[in-house]
Amino acid sequence: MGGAWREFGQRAAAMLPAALLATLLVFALLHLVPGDPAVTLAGENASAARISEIRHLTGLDRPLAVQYLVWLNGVLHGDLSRSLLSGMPVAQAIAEKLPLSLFIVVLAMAFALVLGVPLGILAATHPGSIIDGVVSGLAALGVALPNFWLAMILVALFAIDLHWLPATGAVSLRDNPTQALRHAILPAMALAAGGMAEVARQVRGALTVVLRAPFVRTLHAKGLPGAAIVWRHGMRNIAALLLTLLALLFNRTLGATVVIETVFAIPGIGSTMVEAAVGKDFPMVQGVVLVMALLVIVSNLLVDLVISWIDPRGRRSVGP
Amino acid sequence: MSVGRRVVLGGAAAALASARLRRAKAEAPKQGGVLRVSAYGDITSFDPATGRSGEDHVQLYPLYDTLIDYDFPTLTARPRLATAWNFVDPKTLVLDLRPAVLFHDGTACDAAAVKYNLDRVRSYPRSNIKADVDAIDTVETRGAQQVVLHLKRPDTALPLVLSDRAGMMVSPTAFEKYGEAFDRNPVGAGAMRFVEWRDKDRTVYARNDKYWQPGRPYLDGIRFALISDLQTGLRSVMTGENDFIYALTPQQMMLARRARDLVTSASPTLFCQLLFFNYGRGLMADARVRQAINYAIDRKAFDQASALDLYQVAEMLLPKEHWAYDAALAVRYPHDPVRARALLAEAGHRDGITLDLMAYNDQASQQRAEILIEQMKAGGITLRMKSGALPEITGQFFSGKIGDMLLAAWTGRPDPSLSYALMFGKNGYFNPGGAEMPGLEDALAATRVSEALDVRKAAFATVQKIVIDDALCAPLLFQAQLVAHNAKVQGWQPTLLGKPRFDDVFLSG
Repeated sequence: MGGAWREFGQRAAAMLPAALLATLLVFALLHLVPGDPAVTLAGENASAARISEIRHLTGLDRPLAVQYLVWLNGVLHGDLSRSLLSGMPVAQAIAEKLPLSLFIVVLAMAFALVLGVPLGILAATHPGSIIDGVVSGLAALGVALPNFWLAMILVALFAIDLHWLPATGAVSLRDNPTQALRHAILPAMALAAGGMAEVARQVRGALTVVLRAPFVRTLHAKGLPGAAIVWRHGMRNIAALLLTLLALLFNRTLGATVVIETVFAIPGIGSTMVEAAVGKDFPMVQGVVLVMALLVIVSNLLVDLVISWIDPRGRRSVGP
Repeated sequence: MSVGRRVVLGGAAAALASARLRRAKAEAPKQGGVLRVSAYGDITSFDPATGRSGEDHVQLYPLYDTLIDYDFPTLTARPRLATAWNFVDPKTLVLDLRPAVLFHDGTACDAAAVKYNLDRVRSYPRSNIKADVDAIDTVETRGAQQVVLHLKRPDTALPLVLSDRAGMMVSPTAFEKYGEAFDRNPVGAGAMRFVEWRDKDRTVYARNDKYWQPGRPYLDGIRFALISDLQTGLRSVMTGENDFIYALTPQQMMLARRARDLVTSASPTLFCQLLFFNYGRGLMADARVRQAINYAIDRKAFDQASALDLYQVAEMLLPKEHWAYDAALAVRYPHDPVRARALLAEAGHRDGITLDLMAYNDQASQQRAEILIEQMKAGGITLRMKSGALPEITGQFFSGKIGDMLLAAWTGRPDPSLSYALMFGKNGYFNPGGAEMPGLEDALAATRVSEALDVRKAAFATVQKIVIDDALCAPLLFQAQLVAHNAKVQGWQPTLLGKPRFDDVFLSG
């Protein structure tokens, strides 16, 4: 494991420039798109003089390179700057909003795994049967359904008609865990549909191949029960694939929160990012991009680490 | 008075109370309860001087009492923190202040505090409202309850200007303590005091127990849930998570009317959908082209197609309910595509013209733009549409001088002189071409000379005649304030300004 951790550290350090490059690209893209945050900041009674004054007050009149370097210097000193629009420290905004999004993402992934894995196993152990057909159909449906549409259907049923769950908002886990869970269930379900389908399809495909392998025939010949073969040998063989899938799902689900947060009025990181991008709130956009990029990099590295630990071939490839 | 065929309108005195109320029962006001409002959009700042959106007011009003108030149905000035005011000469305004008013932090809201506030909005580098009070030269206190505003030039728009951001009194003690952080730590003298603001989540207020109005407020508090998607906001009211939502679209209003146990209301506002023109640019510099555009628009059909007939057709920039509305000017541009083509031919464009239309990329704006493109074809005008996000398109049109016209809206101001100066004044930011119309500056100045409403109305008629005759824009519709709330909410009164206020609201049951 020491080698694996060393590898993790080296790769994490190597990825940091990539995260900063992402912020540079976003900074450049935001400036390429027409529009001036000083106009927004000047308000309803804007005047050319007032807009010019605001540009000066906020540093927007400086050369772009200087603006970026000032921001970067702040980051290196642990200061993500303040939002141009709300005046709130960017780090504080992210610290408040990211946990709300992450909770929904984690819950959605849990739903996807809890439903997707058994469905995939069922289909793989009954290839060509009605069960296989139903699972494949469900998986196709899960991938095809737009999550915002599913979200509205879930709200109409569980919030408006049955009054079982709230339709809007979010509660922090620290403030009230029960309410946090109640608020997160519907958005997580809407987010989970696509993930569940993906997990079921991948598990079915990979497990079907494994269960046709000669060593499985040997296990059957030795009299090992079918369930033991699937869980002890089949699932172990596809664990690396499942972990890779999890990392992909995490990235994708995090991205999908943008829409779902709007439908459920969740003040999470996705909706914050969209509103900041539309309002050209450079410090907020860059702060969120940096944190999201780091999050994706860390999650991918963690998955790599676990894979290299559970897969002997992976372990051999790690370190000197 | 055609806010919409579904709106039952009462008499002239009840122009706003003409709002269509369903299943609402009149009850005696009672104390207690927290009103939960689904608010469209986050507040930009709690400092009235540094905020930048007309959407802020709904969350500012409970915290800040203004020096002068406006009458909800007509927008004429009425007392609030100033019990009386008087122009002793055209350049001197005297305000008599209400005694024994305290800010939430216990600071006295007296003449010294008022002077501090009026000096602050004029000198604070971050103030966005310096132009509103530009006419004020110096502010003098006379005792604890009187201030005198010495003006650089006559400005009878000031009383209504002081019913807006400039008149919202902040605690000098709190502003000295917080500085820029006052944006997030507001202290006013309003019926509610600030408790909490969580960005894009909620703002929370609690009752001001030391409020100067006896027995007010009725509510123990207000909680605004900040829900930018109106459809989601409406769902939150339908599920009982919130009590009240405003700024619904006509389509959402239809949905609300079908919902069980919801009360709906539609009332006229100053909020005007219009085509801004860059009349300093190319073909648009010719008044005949601008007039042709106005003739080519079928406003009634536009209302039916885009707003389900719930809005009011706009002939000028003031709705019929406004004190400065001039009926004589209302019939200038009936739908007449033949006349539009004739005007274009007269201007040397017998084969028609092609113009660049800028529009926002939200669904409703796109729909409106498509309708206009179709209507203009009959008048010989081809529109090339360029669309994008609001900040992008607004910046391109007003700052970048790109495009011939912009499909947008004007939220209105308590005093119409501000609107006309900003939109058509030579230096108005919303006059992208910077073109000066002969006689307009003088006519605008004349609206600020007398305090008498009939004199001001006559002066505004001159301004409006220039704007309409020269077709400096194409007004389309006045949006109605479309509101839905549950039956517990009582006493809500719409305002012609279109910015919701909860002064008289109480919760029943």
